[in-house]
Amino acid sequence: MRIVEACLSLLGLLLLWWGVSAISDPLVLPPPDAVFYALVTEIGTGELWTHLGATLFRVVMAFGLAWMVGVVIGVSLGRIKLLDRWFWSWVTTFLNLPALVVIVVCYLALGMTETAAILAVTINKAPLIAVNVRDGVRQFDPKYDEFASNYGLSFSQKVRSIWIPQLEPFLFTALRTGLSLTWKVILVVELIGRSSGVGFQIHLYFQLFEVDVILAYALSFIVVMQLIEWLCVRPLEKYVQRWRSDGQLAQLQV
Amino acid sequence: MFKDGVVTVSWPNCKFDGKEVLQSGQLALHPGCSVVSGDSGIGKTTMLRAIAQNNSKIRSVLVFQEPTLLPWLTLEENLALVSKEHEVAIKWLDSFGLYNCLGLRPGQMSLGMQRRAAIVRGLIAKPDVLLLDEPSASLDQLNIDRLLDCLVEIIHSRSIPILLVSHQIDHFERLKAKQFYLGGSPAFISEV
Repeated sequence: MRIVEACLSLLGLLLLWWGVSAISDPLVLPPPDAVFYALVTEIGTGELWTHLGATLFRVVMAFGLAWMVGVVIGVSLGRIKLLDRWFWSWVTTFLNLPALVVIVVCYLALGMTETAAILAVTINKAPLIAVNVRDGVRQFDPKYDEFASNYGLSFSQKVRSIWIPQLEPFLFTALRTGLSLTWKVILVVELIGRSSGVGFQIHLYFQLFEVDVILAYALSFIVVMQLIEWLCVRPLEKYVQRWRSDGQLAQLQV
Repeated sequence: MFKDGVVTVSWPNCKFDGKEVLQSGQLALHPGCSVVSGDSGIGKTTMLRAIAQNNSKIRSVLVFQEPTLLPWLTLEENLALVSKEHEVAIKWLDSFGLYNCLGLRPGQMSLGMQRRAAIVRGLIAKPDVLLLDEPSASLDQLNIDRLLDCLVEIIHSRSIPILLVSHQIDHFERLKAKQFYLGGSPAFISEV
């Protein structure tokens, strides 16, 4: 039922787009069929897969690094009050640093390289992950820490069996918001200093004033991100958080 | 401190918000059950926590009033976290009537089952002294009887001291336990 509702809702959005494009300049807002035609053409030439793949690679690399750095910073600040007092302001500073500034500085410092592109996104997104994880760590239930200390659990046991399960909702929030923001920043990185990727193609077709191809690339990446959400993130989330519905009336089978 | 099977535990003065709530003290615990009673809020749980933290030479395991089994793990995984001796865990689960719960998560078990499972977890951690915080709280008579059966089983098969605190001392008369009373302000312990 949820899928039917979601599909109907998206169909409504498509109709709205059609309606608005019918009364506006088709060069500025082409109708859905024109965008679909551009998409098929790009798929036919193989260009779409090349650039989609390049962007996806950068998203995975940059977000993976941002994730690791952010989790380490978030856990450290959440657990160690001294570090939190000293370095929380650093995190908020980097959190509010415009992505464009970080990108330009990285390109100037390291040249127009792949490393600079990925590093810029990592620096820009790690604070977001860190903030989420720090909040999660600060909400740890102290009774589990007391249990771990009383039973002499090792550090790795604490991390694996007590910390990570309590952090799961915050990690999933960080994953969702982080991924959606990362790919948007990646587009800027590609637009400024790369010769491949969806951002590069958008820049190219902007100069050629071909809005249908621009929208085709944007839509294709939205589809990729939705597939990641529905095929990877949601099933994983459902699996690891299955214990949360234990004992609820809805689980009762009469 | 151990001597002839007797474990002596001690605790320091405990303060809460700068106010002394519990006087220091010590107890010589013989194998079997000792019960500390006292009014609600007098400091019984504080005393148990202080014992668990203060006696580093003794392996004391505190079984909390709230079972604190990890809700995301099955009972089997919860037990494996504190001991790798699977056979021992199975034996205790069997004698506590919990063998069929091995694959269940705490949220799928009743409070009485969780309490008994938490005691099993405490036992398989091989403590020198087992500390139980209000084990009968919020349980109905049937579950209290089951719990007492389990404690009798422990007393018979393991010669370790069990120190339990409760404000409902009548629940534990069947155990013929040595009785102590915690009272006063700041609270101090005395033998009944």
